[in-house]
Amino acid sequence: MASAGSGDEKAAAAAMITLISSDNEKFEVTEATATLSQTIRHMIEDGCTDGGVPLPNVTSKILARVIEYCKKHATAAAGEEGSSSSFSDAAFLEVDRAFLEELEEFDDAFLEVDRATLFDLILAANYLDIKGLLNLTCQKVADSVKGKTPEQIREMYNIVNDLTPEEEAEIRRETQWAFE
Amino acid sequence: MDCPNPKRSACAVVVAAAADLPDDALVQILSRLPIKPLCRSKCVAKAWRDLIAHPLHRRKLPQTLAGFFYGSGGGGRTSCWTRQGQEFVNFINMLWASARLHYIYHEQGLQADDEPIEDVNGFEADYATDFVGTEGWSYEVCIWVLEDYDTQQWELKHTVSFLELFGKVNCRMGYKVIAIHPDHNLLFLVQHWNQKLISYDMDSREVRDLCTLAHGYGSITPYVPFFLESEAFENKE
Repeated sequence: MASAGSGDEKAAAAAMITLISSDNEKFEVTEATATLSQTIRHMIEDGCTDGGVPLPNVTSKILARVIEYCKKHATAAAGEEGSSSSFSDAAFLEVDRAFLEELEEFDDAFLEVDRATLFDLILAANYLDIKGLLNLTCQKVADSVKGKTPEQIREMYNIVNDLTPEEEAEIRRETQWAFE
Repeated sequence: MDCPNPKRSACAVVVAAAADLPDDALVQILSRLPIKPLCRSKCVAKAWRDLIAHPLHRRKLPQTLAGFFYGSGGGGRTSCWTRQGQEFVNFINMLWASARLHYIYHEQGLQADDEPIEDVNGFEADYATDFVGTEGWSYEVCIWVLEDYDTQQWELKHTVSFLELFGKVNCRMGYKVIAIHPDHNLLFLVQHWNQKLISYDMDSREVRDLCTLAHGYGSITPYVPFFLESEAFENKE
């Protein structure tokens, strides 16, 4: 009995992955959570996650948020899998919709961050290759750019206009319709 | 990052500056823009312009008409006007507002049983132009659109007089409609008498000289980079 118990513990421990942020903070996460990141998934497949996964490009502040996202979405994915076997189709759809609504609310609340954090999240999602998070954060920036003039975009994101007046005039001439 | 202290906000803004984003992250953002805002974004900075224009990113970013190939057809040399061609630059990347509008090009006039003809692009052409005589020996070009594939319903979209278009009252066979811009109310025509390629904006009614073609411009083919993967093509199916 005792040996079986320790075996279970081992299995549980093996399913945990340690992520190490750039400022050396350690985060213990389940494999299901960690593998939302394709980058980490590949590392697990290659068996090089012993002793933790160093993430020199991600600070602890951002990593905590990324993990929060992954946990939520990993749980939702697991819940969906579980529900498909134990509910009738109608009930499954109901549960499915509830999950989706909850996820959407979570995502909306998750995006309530300042611009610097949003950019850091994009960088982290890009580096860790987390498709859903990258889509969510990039879409947020894209939506903020959509209805804006180039001047407004520059101002909003503190971009220096390094185009010469001639170059800018040329672009405006060839894409005049886009400014109408 | 909003901060009441200008000094601090300047510092915070450095952290939040879009310039800090690596190219692939910026492309990820740009790829989520529709074509019109994407084209406007070229004006933001050099880095944005170059990223959007770079061939590497064509697969990810929406595309529109980028130029025309032209040549003498039967094995003759085909030239290409691209962004780099001087005159051509004037009209690349114009945009048609709705993928639902399609046209048939027809020289002789539109009849109910007319089959859409193949255009030079190899696609089924789906716009129509027609010239009609009006009183006093003046002519008009009429542009018909196929509003709905299923009902095959045609609608007269626009008319423009020869005088407005070519600066003369009568030039019946002296021109050819080359293309309609896929994303913009823009008609491209070639004037045979001076070999000029012109564009006509149906919204502003503005005629623009684009360039003078070399001899032997028999076939002119619109070019949209990666058209096969563009949304317009998907909508057609």
